Amino acid sequence: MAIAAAYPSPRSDALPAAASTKAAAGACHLAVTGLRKSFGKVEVLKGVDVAVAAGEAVALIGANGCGKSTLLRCCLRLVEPDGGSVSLLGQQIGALNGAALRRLRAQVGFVFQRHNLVPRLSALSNVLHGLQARRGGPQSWFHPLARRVDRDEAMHCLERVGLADQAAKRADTLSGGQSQRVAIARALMQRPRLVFADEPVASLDPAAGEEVMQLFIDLMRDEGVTLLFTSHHLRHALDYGDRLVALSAGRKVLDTPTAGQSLDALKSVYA
Amino acid sequence: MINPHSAPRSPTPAPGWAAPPRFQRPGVLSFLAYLVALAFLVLALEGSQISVTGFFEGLPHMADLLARMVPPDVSRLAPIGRALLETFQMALVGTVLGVLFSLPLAVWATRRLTPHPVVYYAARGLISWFRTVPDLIWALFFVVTVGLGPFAGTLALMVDTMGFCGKFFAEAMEETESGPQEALTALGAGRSGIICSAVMPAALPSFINTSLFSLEKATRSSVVLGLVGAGGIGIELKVAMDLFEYPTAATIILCIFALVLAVERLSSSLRQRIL
Repeated sequence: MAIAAAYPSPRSDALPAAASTKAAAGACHLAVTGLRKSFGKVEVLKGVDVAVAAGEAVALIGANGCGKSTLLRCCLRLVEPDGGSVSLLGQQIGALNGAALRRLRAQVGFVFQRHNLVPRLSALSNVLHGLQARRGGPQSWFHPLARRVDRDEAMHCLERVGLADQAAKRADTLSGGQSQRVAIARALMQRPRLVFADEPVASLDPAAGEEVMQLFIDLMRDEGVTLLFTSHHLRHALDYGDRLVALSAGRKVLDTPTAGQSLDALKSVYA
Repeated sequence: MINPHSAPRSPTPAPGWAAPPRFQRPGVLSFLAYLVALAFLVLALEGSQISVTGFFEGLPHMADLLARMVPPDVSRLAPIGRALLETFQMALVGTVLGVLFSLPLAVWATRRLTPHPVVYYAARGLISWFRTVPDLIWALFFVVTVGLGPFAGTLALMVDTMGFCGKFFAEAMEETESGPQEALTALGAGRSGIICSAVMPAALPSFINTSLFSLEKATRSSVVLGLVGAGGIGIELKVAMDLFEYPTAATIILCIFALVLAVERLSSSLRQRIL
């Protein structure tokens, strides 16, 4: 509590409350239509359709190599799709030029399987990187150059993932679980409307994985953020997803609400 | 129960699972290439006029020269000290400027950071050109351009450093992990943000290492540049040798040795402290 008092959220009144997001429910935050992607002769996505409504949490499951990660990367054009269309927060990403694409990406958090922090920088500087699109320039590169209000916001994000006391530590000295928490704080710093998470706890041991996943989902729900996450933990998919989409060999084979689904039924996706 | 460590092993591997050959037999073209390389080495030995007898016959001359140098003459220590300071100043400023200018050059010469392939090849070409032309030749060019003195030497060292650091900085940036860069791309960072907040910090240890090596190299080079009138202590050494003032030459050589050694020790200690 002491830490919470020390770093009051500078954005508490600016954040979209869960209630307001629910009011906007029905709007589509992500609409993927007929998405195709090949790497060389290997066709990874063969015309996938996925839609995610505002405020919804969708779990994407499937065996290794079925195209889950490629789908997420195509949604942000980290990988250029070969065909189909992606509408993200109401914008066709294929039509955007560099600056417009960066502005759109700024509204979308991405939590990677490996945290992808800059190893030699402090946890605080890594969280401040979430500002890069909102406030370009040296102020978002390293924490000593950042504005006070931004440092406070970054500290607040770190505090929300329980790492305010580790702010000055270099990222490469943190444990796997701590690093992933910093990556989540970096995503929070973006004030995202939508978050993609690519197996966010796959590189963690089971105990740390459960802890980080619970924290991640709780924070995203608090923020009222739309969520699309991939996971091999079927239990996570059922517990944390409102809806479940399964891919197999580059095609969608299942799209159903998680309510009423059983683990045994889902295992057939991996058969 | 059979102890797996004492159980007899099959003397021959199962059919179809033979170990790969220890060495690959070279193809005809590779064999010919090796043969040509060997023949050229033999010719090079002959072309270099290597002579063991010539070396041993010359040893007394070396001993005679060393004897004439002892004891070193320290009467001109003050002007020698000033020249030595000028030499180090040239090396330091040349290195600092070279490192600063080589940073953008290295970014352009890094495949995944360059703004355009044409810029990449132009930057790579420029770095290669700076590297392949020896610093003594650069010094000659700059003596003609800006006249005799340390400014010409500093410019020569700067260009030489740009060639050296540009190549190694670019390689260090090529080798940085792509994960953090992808994460920053995903959150909407621009190219300058990715370079300054992900690539540079990751490559920083290599940058520091290369820069310190570059300072050592520039210190050694700055001694020689004086021979073509580009400032520094080299001209003092040349004059002393030309006038057969071997004791003075010995003092200069010892001072150069002390300077190079001090710079190497300093750079080694900085490396350990920073990295």
